[in-house]
Amino acid sequence: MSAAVETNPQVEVVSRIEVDRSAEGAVTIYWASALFWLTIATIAGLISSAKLHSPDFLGNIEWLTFGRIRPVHWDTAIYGFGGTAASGTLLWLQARLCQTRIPFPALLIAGGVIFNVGILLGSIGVLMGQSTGVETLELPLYAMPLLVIPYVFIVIANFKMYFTRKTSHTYVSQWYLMAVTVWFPILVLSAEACTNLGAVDGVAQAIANWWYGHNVVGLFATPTGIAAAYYLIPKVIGKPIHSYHLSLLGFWSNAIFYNWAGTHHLTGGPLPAWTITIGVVGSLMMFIPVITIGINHHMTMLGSFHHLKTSPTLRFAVMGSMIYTLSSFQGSLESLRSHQEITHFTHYTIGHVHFGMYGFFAPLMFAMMYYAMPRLTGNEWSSARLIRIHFWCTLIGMLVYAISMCYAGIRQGMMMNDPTAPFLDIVRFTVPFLWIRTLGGLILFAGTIAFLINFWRIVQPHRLRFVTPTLMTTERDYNMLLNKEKELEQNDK
Amino acid sequence: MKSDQPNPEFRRAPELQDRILEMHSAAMREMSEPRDGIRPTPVTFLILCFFFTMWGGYYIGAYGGDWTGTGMNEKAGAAAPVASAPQNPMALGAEVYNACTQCHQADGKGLAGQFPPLAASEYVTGDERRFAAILLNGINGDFVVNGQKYNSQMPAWKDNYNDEEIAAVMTYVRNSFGNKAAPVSKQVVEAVRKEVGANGPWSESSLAEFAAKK
Repeated sequence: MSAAVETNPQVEVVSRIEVDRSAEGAVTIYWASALFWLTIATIAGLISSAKLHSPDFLGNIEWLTFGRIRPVHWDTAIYGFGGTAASGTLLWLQARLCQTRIPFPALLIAGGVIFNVGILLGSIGVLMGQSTGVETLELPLYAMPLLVIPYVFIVIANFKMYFTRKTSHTYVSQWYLMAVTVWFPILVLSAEACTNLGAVDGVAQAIANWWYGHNVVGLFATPTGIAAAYYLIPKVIGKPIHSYHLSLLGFWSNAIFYNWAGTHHLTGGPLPAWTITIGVVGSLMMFIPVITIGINHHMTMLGSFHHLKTSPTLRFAVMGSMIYTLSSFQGSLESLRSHQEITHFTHYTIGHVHFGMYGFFAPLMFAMMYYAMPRLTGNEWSSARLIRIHFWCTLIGMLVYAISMCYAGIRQGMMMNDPTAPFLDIVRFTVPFLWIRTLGGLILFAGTIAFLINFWRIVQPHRLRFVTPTLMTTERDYNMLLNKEKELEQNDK
Repeated sequence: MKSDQPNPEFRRAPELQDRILEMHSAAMREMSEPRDGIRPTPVTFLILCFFFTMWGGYYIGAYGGDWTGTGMNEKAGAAAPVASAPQNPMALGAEVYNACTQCHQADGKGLAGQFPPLAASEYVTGDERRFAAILLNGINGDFVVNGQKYNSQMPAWKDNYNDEEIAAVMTYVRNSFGNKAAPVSKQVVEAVRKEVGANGPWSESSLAEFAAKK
């Protein structure tokens, strides 16, 4: 009986171990791909960023012109990093919360490989100049089946786990994960049909494009991030989540309002006024789920902040959930017409997107990896210093990036609203901030490299293991472990 | 750390299946799966939600435009008063003058041999009927201004601008580039348009003929 499984801690431990063993291959390949694409996306982002303040940088390489490298930056970030990190998270979380093994792991591993080939082909296509020109759906159509098919495997695996679950209660993280697997395929397929496949023309294409562009963040990345936060925060500190009632309200208000928000990207465009008005209202109403989820996460944390000193997972998870609240407030206000009169078409929007994606979504994915990888591989993280570097680089790099871009965007918008200000003066004004942005990107990149090293070491097949977990304050000597392993090898001979 | 003791920091990876529990020390040390608390939703927050919903309804009502596929203005019914508001003829004229700068130049001095100047020109500051007639129908062929001969074509603007805009640009030109002359009213342009608006471009002689008859 399922109740027995939940109440007997020893049975729960065995089930956890079984789940983790079944998940190791599939989840590791998705997360390793996520880090690979995060590195590529960051490099592509740095090149795009550098081109804005130094236009001649790599200026005569056709493949690296701004119009090509910038879509590659975004697509590898959202699909390459976001898609794979979210897929790995979805598989592991769902398996853990259903207490079932991951079904057909070989197929899921194959799916991970196909997905990577798809992103690679698509990105090369864009670099060769075959971009479709539809933002967020730039990847050429021939790459899309390679992204859709693996996702079908994940959707099926997710449903199979859920319907063969051994638990009686469905936890809030699972609601979000189930919702993502229903929403995302509908989003991608209808957006592709309405834009690149040409089911509708003209203004309706633009509406479909931005409906998708906003929802890929809001109905794919965001729910996965929220699911991760709902799991990790109570899990690490060992307290129940604040309120089930708030979880319900947050989930359904998110489901109802987010979908409407996309058209606020087209404010001032040649759209029927009511489509934009509804987008603005949808965005503003997001205050309800955001406050709800905020209360639930932050009130659960209340009184347990001392864990932040030691737990790497909690550091990233709390950073993510706090920035979720902040960036969502920012985003809701940003959608207002009166706000957009200043910030629309400025760097402010770019600051906001990165604040959300790298301040909220990415840290929660990192938190998932920090928590689950020791369980999946049986190894501990090799260096606490690298974790500290990763954390501080992510936080500081993010703040440098978001604050400089948002400030520059507001000033830029005010100057653009002044008809007497010469356009070149406005461009010159933003240049120092664009340099700061590149600096912020470099700091983020340093953090990514630190995480890559740690990740590379933990997936190695080690003969020796650290006995204690790697906390923020732990002193780790990875070289000593390697030396001892060598000794062992010589003894065996 | 004593080297003769087995190092307490490390343990061997299990090589046999029956040591599976040891391999998964991470899974064993963790807390049990998360549970839901049952605190009630704060009443103040529900009241806040109520106000958000009220605001949403208000915003849709206030900025829904006219709820058609072509109504681009979010303020329904606001378009008419904006359009009929009186405009400063110098500002409107300056805007319209952008169309003139390609030939007559931003400084109104024209180009020698091709485009006559507007600055200090009797055609501009003199008879306003004649000036309006030039703007409406355009000019073809030789033309003498201030003793200098020009030969080019000036397009007709009657289809591009309404009477108010043509009057405004006339007022603007008559009071810029060092010129000083009375503003031109919309009615003057309207009358000239009625009289000769159907004709083709002027020549120097036909324009003089038009100006001579009152």
